[in-house]
Amino acid sequence: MKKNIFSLLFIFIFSIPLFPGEKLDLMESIIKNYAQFNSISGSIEQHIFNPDGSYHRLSGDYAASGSGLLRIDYYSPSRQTVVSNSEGLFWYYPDRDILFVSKSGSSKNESLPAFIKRISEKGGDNISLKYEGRFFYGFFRRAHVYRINLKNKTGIRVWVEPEGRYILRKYVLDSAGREIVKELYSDYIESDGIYIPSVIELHVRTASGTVRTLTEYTNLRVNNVIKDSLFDFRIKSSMDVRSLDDN
Amino acid sequence: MTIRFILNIIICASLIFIYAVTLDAVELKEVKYYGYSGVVDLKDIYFPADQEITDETAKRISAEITRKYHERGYRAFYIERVLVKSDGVVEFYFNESAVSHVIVSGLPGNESDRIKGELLKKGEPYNEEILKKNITALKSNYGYSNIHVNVEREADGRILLRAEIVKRRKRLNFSVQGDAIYGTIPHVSWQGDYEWGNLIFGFYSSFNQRSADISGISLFIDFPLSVSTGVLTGFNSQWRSDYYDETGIFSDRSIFPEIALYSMSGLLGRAVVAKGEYYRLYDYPESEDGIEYSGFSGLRFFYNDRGYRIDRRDERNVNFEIIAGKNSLEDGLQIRIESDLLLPFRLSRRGDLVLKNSFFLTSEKERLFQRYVFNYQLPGRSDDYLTSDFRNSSGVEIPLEIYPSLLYIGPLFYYGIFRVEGRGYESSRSAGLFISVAPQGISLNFAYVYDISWDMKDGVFLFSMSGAF
Repeated sequence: MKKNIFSLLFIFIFSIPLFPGEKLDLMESIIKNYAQFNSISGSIEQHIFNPDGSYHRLSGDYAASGSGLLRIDYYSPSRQTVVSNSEGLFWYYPDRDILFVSKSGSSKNESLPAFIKRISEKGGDNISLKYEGRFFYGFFRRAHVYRINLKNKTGIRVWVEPEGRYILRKYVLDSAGREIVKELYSDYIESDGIYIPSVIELHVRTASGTVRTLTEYTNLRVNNVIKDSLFDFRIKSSMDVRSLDDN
Repeated sequence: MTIRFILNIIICASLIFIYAVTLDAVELKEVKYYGYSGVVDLKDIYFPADQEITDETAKRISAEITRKYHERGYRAFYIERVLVKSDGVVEFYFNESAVSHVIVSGLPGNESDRIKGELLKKGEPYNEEILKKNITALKSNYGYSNIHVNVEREADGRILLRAEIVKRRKRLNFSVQGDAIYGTIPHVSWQGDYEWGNLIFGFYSSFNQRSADISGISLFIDFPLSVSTGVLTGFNSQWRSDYYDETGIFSDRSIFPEIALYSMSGLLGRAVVAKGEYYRLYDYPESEDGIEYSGFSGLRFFYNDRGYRIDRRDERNVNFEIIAGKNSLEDGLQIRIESDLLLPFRLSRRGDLVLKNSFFLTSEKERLFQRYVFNYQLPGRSDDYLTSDFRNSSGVEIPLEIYPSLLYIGPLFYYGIFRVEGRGYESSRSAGLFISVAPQGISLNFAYVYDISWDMKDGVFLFSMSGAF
């Protein structure tokens, strides 16, 4: 179970709410929009539905910066602190003084907008961006759909709202075209022209079946001042440090 | 004086580390890593504070680097040699044990090619942890029952992976469906996957209906010819008692052989099909000697993304077939067109709208080759045994998700138009409520449907259940 939560939140963290596209120029305008985004904070509530029928609910406070830094302080069902910064991902259980660490490379922590921006700027060699056309979502509305092909033949498909204001869905596909991850964004709030989803539904294939989560954000504040030190994490000698990758 | 010699041989998890170092301490000027790809962060490797390095410190540092690699799963990593040069340059020569080849056996060629890159990629440093995770993912995503991987070291230090994959050879599918004509029909099928193709054997037999019943067996084999082509062939054989009209009963023993040469473009397939029907009829008024047959050939187009979708509510299915041929009861060339469509749309976070359509058209006037009007989509009249040469039913189901990925409830509406010999075109409308329960691997569907175009307003209880083991 813990393994599922870890892997889920890992995916969740690195693909968090964010962002957009349209034909390639539309994509650019969306990137510009999101370039105005410096920080976001609020409350978070996550519902995790496991393939074995078990259910977990977590709630706490959430803060993220436009550069991809993130912190979640869970209060329920137990105190947990999650920090993602340039050094990796730190998951700390204060009550038990146990720390799980994943020192991933910085590119792995790249947020979706930063990723889209990089491929639109550098494009070409290892990654390609393709506009696939307009597809129905809902019954009468049609979304712009983009596909980002990666060198390892996996891909990311992004559905963008007809007017190009925000991302509706994101799929991660394996080399055979199977959906590995599906994310649905909804209940957008607007702040200075930036649309931020306050509800994210996530489906992830795992070895034990498809895990599903629903994440709800409330009291969202955009571009308020958040100190960089909030995203620091210092490992103390008293902590029982374990590798997150082993769990 | 510098003496080069092999200092040590350490055996650790079948790995051999060979160090060639100097004996003299030199002042450290620079450290160089050769063969280092950066997969493991070595920034925190500690070099002597006094900036002097000896063979002993070089050995310790080599062991520390190796330990870091092994901790990260790169357990085939070793350091080929370390040179401590008199000018203060220390050179570490790494062998990260890149994967040279991945050889997959146990699968058809096209599937092997696809799987290779999903174990470990050629040129990628061998990582045992990543390999384990990829094996687990492959089993989960493709249903392989076992994957054995032999890791061999080649002369140049690279790693050769030999993967033997065992597909899930036994898959038992079970379903039960309520049918307006034949009653309750349980259906069991067994599917076996082999290197040469897939085999599906099925059996079904109805019960709890007084006059009409149906039983049968089917055997189909799918032979892949290339990455995107194959041949599907087999037969369905059935024996039944059925209605000739509302009072007359006939029975038959029949076999329906079929062969299709198909080609896939992604998930879209097209096939050239040839199919036949052979009937041994009893008490069928139109047949003089009780033996009738037909032969048809034509084209089939199909799209089904089941298995590719992570959420079953997104699964789409389209089938279209047009065939032409002859039957023994009628003169002239006959044509049959048949299609099915299932298209889901997301309305809200918890609500979907699913469009369904079923279409059948034949130029044949003989009842034996026509279709029953009332089926799941037009279920209103359980005691009406009309057959039709034209039937089109369209409907919409609106499932509301009550519990995520488990329980769905919603209304359904269907409208059908059909043509009956001697009566012309008629229509039927039905509405009802359905409940769907879908724990992993099993699907239970119940519906209570009224024929709202019929005065009696009789409700019909429909059910189906399916599971895979």
